Amino acid sequence: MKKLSFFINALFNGDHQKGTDHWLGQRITSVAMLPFVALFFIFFLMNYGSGYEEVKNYFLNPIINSLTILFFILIFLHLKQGLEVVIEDYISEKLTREIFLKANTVLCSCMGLLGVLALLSIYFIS
Amino acid sequence: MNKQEADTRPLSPHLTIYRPQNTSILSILHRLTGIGLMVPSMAMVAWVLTIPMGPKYFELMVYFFSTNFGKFLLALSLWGIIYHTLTGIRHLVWDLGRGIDLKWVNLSSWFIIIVSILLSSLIIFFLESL
Repeated sequence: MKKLSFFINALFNGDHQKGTDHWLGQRITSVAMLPFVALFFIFFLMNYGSGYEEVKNYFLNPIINSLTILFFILIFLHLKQGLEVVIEDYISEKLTREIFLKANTVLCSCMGLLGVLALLSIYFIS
Repeated sequence: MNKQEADTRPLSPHLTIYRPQNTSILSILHRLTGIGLMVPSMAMVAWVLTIPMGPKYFELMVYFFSTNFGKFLLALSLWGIIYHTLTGIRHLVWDLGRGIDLKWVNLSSWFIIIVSILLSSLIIFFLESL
């Protein structure tokens, strides 16, 4: 249990001062994303050029819908973690750095949330 | 610190005259593709968003990706995803403490360069033939 909370902490902890946690969080999202990337390529190649109805029906499948939601969450978590490291490396001025880090968190969370909401609304509303 | 002391301190490599090595180039490209993949991730969200918005917006998105610029972006993104994934796997192998010797690093560098270009061109060729 303690181990589990340690891993969860590493994933969602926004505290970039804790280097090890951040490093571990990024490894977790990258390993978790590997099968999704492979699946993404298969489905992308299978469905390239599909029309509106086809694509919509596709996302009405609960398994594909939920897998895509998971993929979106992983993508934007990983993007946030990666950009955090880049920002910390290149912006040395403290205030500017903090602003960029906060903006990065907000932007990535919003994009991820938007993607998840879109997928949920396809499934539950239309 | 006096002036003489400052003069004798080691300098970091001057990037403009530094001989590029495949290790450094691949490392920089890993970071650049990572930042660049921000664009296709956002495009993916935008694309998914058009589905609940209706067929009109969806067709607009499809149209954008059928233009030359859209196709170019798509091709670049495909290469970026493959490249970033391959170098990412290599980073994970390094994190396990394996493959740190120069021979393996050089070999895997060339493997990644060739495979990422080959695989992405193959996919682009396949998509174009549809």
